[in-house]
Amino acid sequence: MIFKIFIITFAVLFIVRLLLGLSQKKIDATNFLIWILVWGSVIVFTIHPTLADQVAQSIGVARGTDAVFFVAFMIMFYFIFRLYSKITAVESDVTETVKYIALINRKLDRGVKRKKK
Amino acid sequence: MKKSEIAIVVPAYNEAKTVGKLIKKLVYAGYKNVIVVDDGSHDQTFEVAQNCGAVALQLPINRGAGGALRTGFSEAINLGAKIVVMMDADLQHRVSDIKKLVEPIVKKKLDIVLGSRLLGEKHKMPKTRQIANITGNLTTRLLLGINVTDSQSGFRAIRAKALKKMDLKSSRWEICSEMVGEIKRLNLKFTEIPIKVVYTTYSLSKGQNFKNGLKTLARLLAIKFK
Repeated sequence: MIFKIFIITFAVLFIVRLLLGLSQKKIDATNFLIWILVWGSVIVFTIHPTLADQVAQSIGVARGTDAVFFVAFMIMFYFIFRLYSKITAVESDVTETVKYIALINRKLDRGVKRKKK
Repeated sequence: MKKSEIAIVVPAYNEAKTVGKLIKKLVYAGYKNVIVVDDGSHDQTFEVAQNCGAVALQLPINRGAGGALRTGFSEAINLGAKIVVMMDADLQHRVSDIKKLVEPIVKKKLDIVLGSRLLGEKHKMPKTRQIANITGNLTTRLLLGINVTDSQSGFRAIRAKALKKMDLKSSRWEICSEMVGEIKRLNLKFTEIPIKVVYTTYSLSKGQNFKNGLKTLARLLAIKFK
């Protein structure tokens, strides 16, 4: 019971943080909705643990816990991939900036002094 | 096509030992627009390139082959080149093969010619490189929808007009596959021709290995599905 209260409190605090973030425009609507769904699900399945088993069986997974872990892993991999895509895009932007520096230095006939390793 | 209308772009990272010899060979063969892009080297690559008479550019930090090539391509276009040839700085590629790469663009009005290490007479590509190459080709085929024999070759000739249309985002070695993907996206006319590669202990220490190949795959996936 104490554990349930702890989880629900933590989830509610996270949702409050999300609402604050949305009002201060620190988080966009899409990400807000995704995280509300995640933490809302945490609250629902904590209050009704048997619901997880019912949902799991309807999608062909034996136990509710297995289904929760499976979905959690899928969500985590999705976010990791999104992060990696953003990093790759930022890398490309850095390369573009470095390219322009090199081209401008060439025009100004300047080299970059670098310490030897 | 006059040789003065051809620009040779050479990305170079710590290639002070070989880039000077390459530039001299190119200049001797009549190619005046040799663009060497020093990719944040820690040796004298930039100084050697400058002293040998190349158009030398220097990236202030290492960005990878993709970053160096994108910079070289921009400079080639700025210089008014009609055809841009890209080649490695480690003397792996033969200067005499440049003519074979350029000819189909001039005579057959193609947009891009890919040098392939796996065509023609029996090649001497090491087994590990062959496996990496096959993996690269398969990835390029599955992700980008185009089938070539050597998607990872760094020896290619591209018509400047076609190069201007390409939207290249890669910073590292995945640019090789990305360029092949652009052929499909832009519906460019292309062909592959056999090239001979000189494998030495030095040149084998350069280029892609399996670990880099996995990173290339990950970056290609990130670019494709962003």
